[in-house]
Amino acid sequence: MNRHEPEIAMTSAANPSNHATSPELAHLCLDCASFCHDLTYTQAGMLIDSKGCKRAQNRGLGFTESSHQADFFLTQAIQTLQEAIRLNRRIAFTGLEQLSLDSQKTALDLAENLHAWVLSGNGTTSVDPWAIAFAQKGGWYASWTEIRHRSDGLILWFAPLWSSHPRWLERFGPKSSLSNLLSIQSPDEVATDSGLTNEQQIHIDPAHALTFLADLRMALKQPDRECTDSRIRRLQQMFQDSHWLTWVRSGDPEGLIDPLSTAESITEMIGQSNSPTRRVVMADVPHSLNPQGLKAVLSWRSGLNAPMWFSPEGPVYRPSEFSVENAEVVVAFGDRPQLRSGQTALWFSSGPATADSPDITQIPVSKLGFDDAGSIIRADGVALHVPAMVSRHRIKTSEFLATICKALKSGGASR
Amino acid sequence: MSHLLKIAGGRVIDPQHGVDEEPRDVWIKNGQVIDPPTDPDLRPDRTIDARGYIVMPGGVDIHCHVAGAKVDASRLLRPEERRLESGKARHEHNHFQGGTLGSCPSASITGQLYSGMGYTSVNDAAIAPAGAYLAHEELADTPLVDRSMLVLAGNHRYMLEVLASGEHELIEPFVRWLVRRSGSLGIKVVNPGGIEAWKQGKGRITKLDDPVPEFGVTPRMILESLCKASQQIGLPHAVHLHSLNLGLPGNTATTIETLAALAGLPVHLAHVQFHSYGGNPNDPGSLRADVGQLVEHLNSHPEVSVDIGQVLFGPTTVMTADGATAQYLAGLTGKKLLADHVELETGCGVMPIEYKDKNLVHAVQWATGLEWFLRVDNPWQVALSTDHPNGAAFTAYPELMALLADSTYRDECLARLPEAVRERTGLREISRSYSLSELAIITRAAPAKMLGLTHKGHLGAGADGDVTIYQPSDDLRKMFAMPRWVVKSGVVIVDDTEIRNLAAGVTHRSNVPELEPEALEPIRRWWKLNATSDWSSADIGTAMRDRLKPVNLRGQGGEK
Ligand SMILES: [Zn+2]
Repeated sequence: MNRHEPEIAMTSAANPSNHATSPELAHLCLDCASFCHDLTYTQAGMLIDSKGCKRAQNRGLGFTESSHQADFFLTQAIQTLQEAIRLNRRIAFTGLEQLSLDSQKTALDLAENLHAWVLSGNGTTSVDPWAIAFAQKGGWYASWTEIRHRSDGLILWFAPLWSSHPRWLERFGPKSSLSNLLSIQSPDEVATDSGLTNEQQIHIDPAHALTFLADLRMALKQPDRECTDSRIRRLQQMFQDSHWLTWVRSGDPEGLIDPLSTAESITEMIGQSNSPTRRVVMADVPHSLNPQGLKAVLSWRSGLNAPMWFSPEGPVYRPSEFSVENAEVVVAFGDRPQLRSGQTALWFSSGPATADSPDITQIPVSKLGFDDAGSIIRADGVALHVPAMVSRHRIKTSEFLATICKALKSGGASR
Repeated sequence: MSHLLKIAGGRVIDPQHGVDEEPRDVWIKNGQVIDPPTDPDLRPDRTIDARGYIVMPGGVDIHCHVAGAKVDASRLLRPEERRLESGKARHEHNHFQGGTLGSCPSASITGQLYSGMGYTSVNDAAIAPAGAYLAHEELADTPLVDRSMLVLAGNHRYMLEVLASGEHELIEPFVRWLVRRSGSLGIKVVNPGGIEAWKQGKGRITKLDDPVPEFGVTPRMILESLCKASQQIGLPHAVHLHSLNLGLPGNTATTIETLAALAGLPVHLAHVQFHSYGGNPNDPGSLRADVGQLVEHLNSHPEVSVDIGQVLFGPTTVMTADGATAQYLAGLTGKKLLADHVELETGCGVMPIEYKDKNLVHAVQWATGLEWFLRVDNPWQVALSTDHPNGAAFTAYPELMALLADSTYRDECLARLPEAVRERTGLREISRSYSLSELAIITRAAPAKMLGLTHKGHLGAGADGDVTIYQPSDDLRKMFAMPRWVVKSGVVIVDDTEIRNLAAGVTHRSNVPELEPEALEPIRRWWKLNATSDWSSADIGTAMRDRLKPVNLRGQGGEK
């Protein structure tokens, strides 16, 4: 475990309503992947100043105080996994993106020990089209501080950051001005709170995104050709006017047809738009906490991307086969696993207890950034150290996983 | 519990102590070499009968890329390297922990492959400050070897701002901060100022006195100030330099000019092979070796050291902080490229490459590297490297050692290359063969000394108990690829050519003291103004730092 001294901003003097006994703390906000470090909280973890962020205002810190001790859950988890090993069940790990780097490392120790599958996200979509596009075409990226300093134009590709990551543009968008910004979005996207003018919004049906991209690329290649689509012309202009352009994506929109070809087309277009004197980069603003950490640890542990299998012969990548659908036992972090009949799950959850299901064992664990500390890797590669806000005696995920691992090994139950 | 190991009667090669193939015993107690005990009745816990075997200190790699964001991304960029081999790593090498091979093996396999060929220390030569924490986590997962890293310094915007405003006195505390915050051994300078210009999208910097756009600072100013600061602080390793114009024909002139600018200051030229070409800068096909002047400079400047960055034929991965060079190379070859811009600190370029023996340019690079090795007078100024994985993966070191030690084998290889190589390089005229002792110098004694790892690279009392025991053979490649025993910190990790356990190593850092608050203040102010993360992310943190083993600064007093 890493326990970093939290950077404490004692701003009580600036806030007359504050008592000396409850100084405000600035803590890393983990509500979205922007990781704001300037919101303030009371020492009990209650939000004082959200800097106008609606998501942070609505955050829920609900969690369960279980009547059981950690030992109770440990026994249950070990029994479930020992049984799975005995019956040679297919075990899948999901949701590792929500864990700190330390917990990811111990989760992968356990997965390797169990010869389990490691899936991405909740394990329902097996392949990340952007990872494949990267392996095919490479990519042009920049960390977010670079974007803030250098970018003079920004295109949002189906990335309604104003609702998903409310302060991202304020914190990482071009320092100079946000006027040179275009948002490509679904026709039904309501952008009322975005601060964007109508002119800045380009509506495209995700079902037509790929043909739209083909038209855009044609227009970029042949700038002198007459183009009747005003949306294309605006983007073409943006590419022409910008010296340092950023293309922001944030997950794929609903209804996108052929996400892989789309990802490849964008990756290739960005690559081709770069010259020694013109820069175009992509920024990925994710929805989960630590996908970059998982990518890195999985890369050095296995050389592979998820979905992968720690087979007894070594790591294997076989996306068509490894999905939560094909698993028999699920070890889930983050979201509650959706099981089909016959599946069982261990679910490590820091949220409130949900309706009982005999197939799901919910293990109440501490919440990163609230009562657990750890490090995460921001999507652009910057390491952030997350201190705990309050101290409680709930189960720490990484310690718990390490204990299971040890117990399975010493019991001779690893396979 | 004390543990005593005796390596008995081997032909010991310990160049630092002038020992050359003398039959001796090496004693290791609790992980450290000790003088042979005087008590004749003392019984070791284990004795390795090394009679007839060659005994050397464990190998030390001064320049490789084995951890951090660029290595992690490279594996994901190149699944084609994995596709054919998934699952093989564990079986074929009897590995304890699974993983994958390729030019950038997974961390556990990296440790196993290094130690399996007798290397017990590796130094990752280019880590971005922002990526230091992640790299340390990865190094901690790289077993069987000791590790260290160099932090990238030559394009940091704080440094550029400070130099632009003439506040030269702020550079030394900046370097101290950078090394301490990242837990590094020293600093690496890549294309000083040139990466910043590239990141601005303002083209390339090709001359030592070209100003960096926006700053007016020149590569010469950056180099001088960083080298002076490094010397002032007493960092264990001199500034590790990758200068301008890497890989371009005619770049010897730049390298000479760089060395002249640093006259008298200690500096280590990284992968110098890539900086030693003649030819026309505008014609990539005109590449030829031009090492003569550089070798002469080295021969008369003991404060300068080099590692070679040898090219060996086969597929591998280019991996550099020098995004400008990577973009140029990707343009030439049409290969997929990962280009990255990192936190106002540095850049990154990763792409596949295949060095082909039928390709004249590649063949010239191969011969240029060998010419370097073979023309230097004093092997103590040279470290063996392929700039793993840039020139070749580290697994090719045994091949390289064979090329140096066996001139007949080398001539056979040269004969298979395009005819023009013999005109464009001086390799044909060289008949020198490295002795085993000279090989021991360039693969362990010299790199350890250059890095300031005074407890490595030799077998004197107090040295780390890292020992490689080779079975002599006419097949030098096999000999160097498969030592019979490898001992790491007194533990026999390779026993009868097989890895027997996954003992953990340590990661070294320079023992740079914490900055005084007033020295830290300007950096902190800059951070608050420019960075987009909390100040705590500027540091690997106390918990991580405590896991690293401090190495004394020069002049900081005796080890331990
Ligand atoms: Zn290198």
